[in-house]
Amino acid sequence: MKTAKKLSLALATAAMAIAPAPAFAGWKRITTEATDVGKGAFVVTPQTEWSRWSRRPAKRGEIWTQDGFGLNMMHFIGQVGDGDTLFKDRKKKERPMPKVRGDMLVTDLAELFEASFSIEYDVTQFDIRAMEPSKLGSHDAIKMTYEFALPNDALTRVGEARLAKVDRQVYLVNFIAPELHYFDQSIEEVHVIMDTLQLN
Amino acid sequence: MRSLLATAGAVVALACAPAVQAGDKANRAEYPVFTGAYEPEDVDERGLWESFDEVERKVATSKDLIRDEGINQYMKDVLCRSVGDDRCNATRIYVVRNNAFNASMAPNGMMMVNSGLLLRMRNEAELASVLGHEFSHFEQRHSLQLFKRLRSGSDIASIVSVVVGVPLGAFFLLDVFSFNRDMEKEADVASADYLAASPYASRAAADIWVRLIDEDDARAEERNRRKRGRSTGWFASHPAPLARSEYLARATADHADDGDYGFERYGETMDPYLLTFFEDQLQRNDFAASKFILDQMGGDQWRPIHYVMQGELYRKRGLPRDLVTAEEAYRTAIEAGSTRPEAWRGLGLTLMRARNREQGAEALATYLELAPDAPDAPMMQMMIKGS
Repeated sequence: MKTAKKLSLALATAAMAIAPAPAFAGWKRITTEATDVGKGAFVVTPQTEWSRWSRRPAKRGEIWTQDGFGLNMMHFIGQVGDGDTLFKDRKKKERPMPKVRGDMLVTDLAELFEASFSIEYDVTQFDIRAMEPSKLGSHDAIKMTYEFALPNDALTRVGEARLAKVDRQVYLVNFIAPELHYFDQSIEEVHVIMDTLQLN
Repeated sequence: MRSLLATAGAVVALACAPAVQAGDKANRAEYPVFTGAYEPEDVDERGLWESFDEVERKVATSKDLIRDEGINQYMKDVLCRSVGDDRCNATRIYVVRNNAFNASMAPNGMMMVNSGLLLRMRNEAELASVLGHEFSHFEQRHSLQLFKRLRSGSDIASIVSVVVGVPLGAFFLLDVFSFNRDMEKEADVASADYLAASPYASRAAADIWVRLIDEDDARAEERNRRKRGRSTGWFASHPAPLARSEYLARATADHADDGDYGFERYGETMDPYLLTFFEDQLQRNDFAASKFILDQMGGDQWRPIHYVMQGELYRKRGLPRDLVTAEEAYRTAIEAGSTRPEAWRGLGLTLMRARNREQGAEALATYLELAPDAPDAPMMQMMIKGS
């Protein structure tokens, strides 16, 4: 076989390998008005404009960003019941997600998030910086701040998540960004969002 | 360049560990002839080294690199005992927080070892076998061979690797140079020769692959999927684990010896890291395989840290019957003298989840006495007050 033909075959094979990338992913602008989020699981009023990704991380979930996912990302995931997973269980045979259980303590929710987030984003290192009681909207919640690493990535990325269990359903709001500049850039607004949002 | 796959854990003051005496091993073979310091020989190889020097600079600054001097010195010492002092100084070893069973070797002498591999090793001889395998890729210039095939355009798989690897940025080089099956087998056999000439027990090499199959069997059964590892697929970069265990067993039979396994040294060195590495494994929601790893690690000589790990394993799955097992494990660890605050934390949370709030609060209070500055101290104080 000539080299050019081989190269064509190789490129075709490679293209097939890449093809499963998400199709039809789109964006919607989120304005500063009160907005239904996660098919009505939350009502959120941001202070600035964000962009919402059309691909949902969970059945009743959304992901927002301001500067692109590599620089800041906020998850809203709500109304997760007993036996459900925080993030969509897309690869049950290879990377199954842990499930919410009705008898979980609030500290178990933090560990549930840690495992779910690590599986979803292929995190290799997840270290908790602080874990303390907090509020999500008007409800009691656990707040965890953490840092994590992605494979072969030099950046220190940090996150802040708040989780609450209301009427046996779990709610999560999570913000992540590189520690350098981007986390501090948005965290004040994120705190306001977490403090003022409404859980349905 | 991605290569090995293996199992086991990591730490400290190896410098204090008694050195293995070369004369301990009967029927000791000779190391292959060493031709001197390994340096790039031609323009191709010099270019390859320079490319990987840039990759190495990125690896050296990566977030998930374990920079602890103790574990890094230990790895170097084991490699030197495995392949000989004259060879080992040409390499730099980087230990990375990653729960996957993997290690890799770059053409410029950069070796990467995952913490997931260390978690799965049972003794120092097994680790020596894996490090020897990776080193032989370096000594036999496998990356250079791949590079020349890639440039000649005669290896479709290599071209595909380039195309697929591009989005990974500088690290795509690590994927481009995935060694092929023949190279992996060649490295396996070479590592058996190194082990035979080393103070270590040659038999250690084959066991790793048998356990890898058994670990995946446990995972497959839990996830209700097909079992793997018994046959080598068309596009597999490595021989199947079963084939590896068989030919390694044959190769090491030729070097039958009574060398050292280094169980105690490995255990003492890894103990401070095991819980962290195991927690990384538990994050993968991989209960059956995690239990298998722990059972293999403990063998018939469970130490207090193993019971703490068992408690974490069952508490995090959290079925009602798991809480009974977890409580017993934490209590056993504490009675056996574990001073790890995590044992009290785990016990407290287990008791609370089992609705034994009073005793749970007492255990959490002990946790806070042992670790007053723990990052979750405010949360635990709230749990105690709310009990």
